[in-house]
Amino acid sequence: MSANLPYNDQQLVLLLKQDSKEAFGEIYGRYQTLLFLFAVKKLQDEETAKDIVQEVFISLWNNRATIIDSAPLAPYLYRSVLNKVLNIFRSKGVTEEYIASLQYTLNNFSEGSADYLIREKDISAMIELEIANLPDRMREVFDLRRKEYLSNKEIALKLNLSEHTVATHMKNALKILRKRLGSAIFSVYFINL
Amino acid sequence: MQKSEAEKLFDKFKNGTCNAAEMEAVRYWLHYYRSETDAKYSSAELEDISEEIWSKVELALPERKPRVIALKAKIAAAAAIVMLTLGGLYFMQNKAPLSNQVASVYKNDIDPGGDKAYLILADGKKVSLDHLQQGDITQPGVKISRSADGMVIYKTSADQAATDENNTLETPRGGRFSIVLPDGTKAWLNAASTLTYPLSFKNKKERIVTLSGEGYFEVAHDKLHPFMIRSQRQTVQVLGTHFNIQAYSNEKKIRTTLLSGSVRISGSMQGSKTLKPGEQADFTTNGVTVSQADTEQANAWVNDDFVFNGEDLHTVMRQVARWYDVDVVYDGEQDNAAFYSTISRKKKLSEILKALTMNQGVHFKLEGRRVTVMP
Repeated sequence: MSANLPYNDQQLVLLLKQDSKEAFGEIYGRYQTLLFLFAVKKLQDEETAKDIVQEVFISLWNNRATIIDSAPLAPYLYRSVLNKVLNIFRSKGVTEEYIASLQYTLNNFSEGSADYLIREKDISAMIELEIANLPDRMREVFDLRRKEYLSNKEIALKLNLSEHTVATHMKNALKILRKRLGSAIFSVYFINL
Repeated sequence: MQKSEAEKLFDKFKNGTCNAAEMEAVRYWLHYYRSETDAKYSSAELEDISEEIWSKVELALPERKPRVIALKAKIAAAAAIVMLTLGGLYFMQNKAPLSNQVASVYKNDIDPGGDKAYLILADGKKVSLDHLQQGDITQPGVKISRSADGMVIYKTSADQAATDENNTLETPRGGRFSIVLPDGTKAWLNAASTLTYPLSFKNKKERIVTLSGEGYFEVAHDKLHPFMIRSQRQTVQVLGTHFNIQAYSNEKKIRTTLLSGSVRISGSMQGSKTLKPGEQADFTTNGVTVSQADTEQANAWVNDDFVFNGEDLHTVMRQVARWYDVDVVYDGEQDNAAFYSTISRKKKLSEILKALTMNQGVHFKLEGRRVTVMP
């Protein structure tokens, strides 16, 4: 059974709302690393960053029914991570570096309009930046998967890698998912019996 | 003043007194904060982290309830019997049939592995050693023969000139073999492994061999010429001794277990580590970890046993795959719990699988050389 889901994010959200663990695994595969890197940069603390990403994905699963179909997935996930990072910051001491950095933002980014809203394009830019900084091979696989929705096999052909290597790049989440999906189908079979 | 503007905002944020617009400003700041920083992680590290987080996330996903499964299993068993009665073609179909979920199926049986290996000579010629008789193979200056107990023995003639030529001993899946190297070192190779060594150690400062897969070594003592074993990035320097190395590319770590003597493990970024008898070293991308070994387990295979001491199902099945030369596929969701047992490697595959069923509660389907693992 293939765990390839050559779907776009919106289709994945629809599947997720129908309790698809496979779609959940695909979302995890697409965004987990990027969200982790985002969090670890802000916090400079790997364990806390891991905890935050874990919480965000668990709450994505638990709240899947309430996600709005048309809401873009990436901003939703990034905002969740950002809010959790903010809570950590709130409890930490204020350093001069924060103040200086915040002052810089206040001076330069809003251009006096007092409109600091993080828009979708800001988050897209952030994602592009994170992807650009990934280790080379991982980045290529990521890009093909996320932008062109290619399957592992197609990526392997394109990059002249073994399918196995691509699968490893796309993380073991999918492998574990495949195992789980087997039982999901098993359940469905019985319900239909 | 500009500076106090930021400070004030930060105070409000910490006190939770920001209004909506101020809160957005803080978010906006954090969004860009340190965004240019390089978080230095390798692909391997990122994958490890991904797996680690997933293993925790996975726990929060709902499990099916055991009671329901038990009931469903009964229905499945009943359905299976009906279907079996209806048609013998049932198992010929590729799609996983319903009954697979409850009972093991052995369509055939498979003999255990045995003494099987190839010798790849310096000129590239590949010779099967299965039926090698005394003095069958000659290379210039070297006589290769087989002892009564099956070991391949190298005899280098006294006038053999120094050479850089190598031979390779290669065992297929389902094969094992033993060899006495030109310096008198004895090596046992487990299934799906290769050992490359020079035809002669003459005029060499170090005795260097390369191992992939798994080998047990009894190294001939020679203080002046250290014996070195390379496996992927790890190098084991041997100071006269008995030890086992498992370095299969489909295992997560290279494990070196020392039974007697002393070995030094190098190749990791944290420098080298020396093992004491009874210790094992696990070499991974994160470095080398030394711990107390189960020495009985480490070289059990030399004595034709599988010894499982808390390995998970997948690790156990990788060993089974190598020794019985079968492919293992997983169907459905199995209990991947730790497994404890000692089983002879001389038994047929079906007996091994039955033991696993009893201990682990998993079921198997054996068709040709393919084993399907089912819940």
